[in-house]
Amino acid sequence: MKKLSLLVAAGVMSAGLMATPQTAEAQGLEVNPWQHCGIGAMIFPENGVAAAISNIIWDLGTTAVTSATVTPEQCGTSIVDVALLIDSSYDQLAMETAQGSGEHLTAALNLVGCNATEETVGALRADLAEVASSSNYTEMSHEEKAYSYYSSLQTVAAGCA
Amino acid sequence: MRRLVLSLILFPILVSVPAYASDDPYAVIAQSRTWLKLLHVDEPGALSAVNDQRFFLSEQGRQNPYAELRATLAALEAPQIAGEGHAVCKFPARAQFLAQQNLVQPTDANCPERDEWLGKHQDQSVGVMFASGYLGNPASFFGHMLIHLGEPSSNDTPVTLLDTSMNFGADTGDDGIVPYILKGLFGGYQARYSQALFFHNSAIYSESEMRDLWQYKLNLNDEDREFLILHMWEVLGQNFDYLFLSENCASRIARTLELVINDDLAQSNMPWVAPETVMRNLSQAEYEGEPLIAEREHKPSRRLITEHLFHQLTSDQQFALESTWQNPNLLNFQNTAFAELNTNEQGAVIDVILSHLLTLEETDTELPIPQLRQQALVKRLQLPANSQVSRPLPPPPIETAVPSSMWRMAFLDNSEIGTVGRLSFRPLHYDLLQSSAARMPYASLEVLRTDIDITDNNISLNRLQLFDVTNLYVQRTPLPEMRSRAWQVAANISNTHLSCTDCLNFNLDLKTGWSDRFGHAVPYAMAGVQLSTTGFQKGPVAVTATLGMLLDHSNIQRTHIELTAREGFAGEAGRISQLNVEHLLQIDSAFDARFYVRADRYRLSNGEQQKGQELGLAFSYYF
Repeated sequence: MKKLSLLVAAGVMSAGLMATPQTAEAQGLEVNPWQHCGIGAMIFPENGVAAAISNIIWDLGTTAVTSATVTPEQCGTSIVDVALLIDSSYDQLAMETAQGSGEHLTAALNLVGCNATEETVGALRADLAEVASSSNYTEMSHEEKAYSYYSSLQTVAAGCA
Repeated sequence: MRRLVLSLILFPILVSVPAYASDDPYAVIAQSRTWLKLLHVDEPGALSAVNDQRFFLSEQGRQNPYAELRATLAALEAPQIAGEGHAVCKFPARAQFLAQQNLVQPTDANCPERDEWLGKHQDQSVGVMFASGYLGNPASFFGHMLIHLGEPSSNDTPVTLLDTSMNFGADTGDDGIVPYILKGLFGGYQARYSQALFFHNSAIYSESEMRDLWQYKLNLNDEDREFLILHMWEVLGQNFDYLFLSENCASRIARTLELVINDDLAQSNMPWVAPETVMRNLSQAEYEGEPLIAEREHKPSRRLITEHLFHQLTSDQQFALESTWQNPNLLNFQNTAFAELNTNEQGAVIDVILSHLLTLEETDTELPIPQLRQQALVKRLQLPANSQVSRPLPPPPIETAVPSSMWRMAFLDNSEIGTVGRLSFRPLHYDLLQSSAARMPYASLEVLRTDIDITDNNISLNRLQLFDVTNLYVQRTPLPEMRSRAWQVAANISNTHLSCTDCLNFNLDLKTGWSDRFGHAVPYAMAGVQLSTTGFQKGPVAVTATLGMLLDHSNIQRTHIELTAREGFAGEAGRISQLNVEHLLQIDSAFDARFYVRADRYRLSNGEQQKGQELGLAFSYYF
């Protein structure tokens, strides 16, 4: 097993030496802000001890490109803001999407250049219905749920341009 | 225009002005209110509150506004070096002000970061966000303030999650509670403005800590509004001195707004500046002959939204909800009551459930929240969407609350001592009879209330209430796990019995229990532990039990009745029972009258039973 790991590691290293990494865009991949832009590493104040921080400073810091396949431009402010909104408010977004209206839902749609219309909200509801009804929904991590919503939002945004 | 006038209003005392001031035209500007406000020099002759050399272009800039003015003029006119920043980029408000005084023609520098930031914010409205007090953390007891930059034309959605918050807070690092208190009170921390989209703050205050938020939009003209926003760019990220009581978020935001508001917004009668005080000052301030506050918008906490949504349900819907959630671990949508509702009615029932799950998630619940949420989401997504969810009516704004500092004079007839005058002073904040929705309903937060007894031949301390934090959180819905939880943490030095004047003991009380509301009555029952000194009573560790009732007769009359028993596990001498009845008549926002009846029973060490009674009338002044 250890030998296999070494072989895999060597293969990865040699591949890294031989090839210049392509950007996600060039590879036709979607940017995942949680994986590529360091969103997952950002720490949000939670209740309890960090409540003190509510009257104390809390900077989110800056995002950092954490993947060689993504350019800094792809982790720009707008994409990060969308991801941070979803990351900090996924449960509120899921609730409001199910309800069909709400300030988090409106904010998320506005951030990607859309208005909360019957079409945009309907599309998000349909996607969420599929995700939430899957048997592994309760086992999905917060990051997986958030990225799933992010992907739905990006799809909806493509139709708002 | 207003700024030009303000710039000519000079502080009466010279501020680090050199001896040649009278011959130097720059000295006049260096002493002007606007220049000193730009430098955050809060008092004549004081150091700038900015404790960051990056903010000053002169090495003496922090203590010498004149030197900073001359250095700024030179820097603004200097040519831009390729690849480097420029004073024009860093200090656009200073540049604008000094150009208006015809003191400088700033260099036309290339400032992409400044322009990008101003491009986003230059046209935004300016407001102040107030987060209500939070009993979950001492640092948040008295509320919090933020500067809020919002969209200019937002009549439909006055506060949006994509607005910008500018938070002034201290960098406390990983300090523990002791250094946190010491540095907070005596110095050692630095604070700074940071900015974030409002949804970050909404997530903390509204969704996690269940605090109501208020946005007060300022009625500034465009010139002053833009000038203030230029200045916000200058101070972002700069380090300021920080003291928890006097150099805090409230005082700094007040001082920052004073750049364009000719008022003392941090004015306080006490040695500290509380957010509530500044909110009150803002509410009373005028700007160009009009009230400074143009409008107030309430953003309810998640808990308040849930309670409101529940009470919007019809009795059939409420019954359906209870039938659906009979088993707290499972939602059963197959019950008859739910099935008989139409789809819109069913949607409203599930909206309450989903909202309540968000509230529960912030507690230490052991309910299977992810599973319950999945059930609710899946069912809700099968039902029609709502275009709008109802919002609760706003509670009274904070400035309508009775001020928190107090003087009180009581005249008492004590069964043992005779006639007693009792003079009381309380710096902060409110007692159970004063609690209101503007602050925190059915709660008490008293700090350092001191009662001095005055008789013909004696003046003595009757009681020093070090602190008393009580929360009779009252159940307002029958939703799962929303049990009413009453609790109290209090410490005092007080006479053990009503009938003595020199039997001071220290007591620390921790209690928890039940409370509820029946119409205008809020009964409660608590039990807990009392740690005491034993100079005048037996039993350093005692258990206590309290029964009480808060009665709301009207907006101006309330009664509080409380019966407490103590068992010190030291025989008869460790037991005492006390009855307190207190009736409040609120005369106006600054005065009240109170009527007291008190009685206690205890035994002396020799077994002799003692009784004490006290009747009294008191008048209080709040400021």
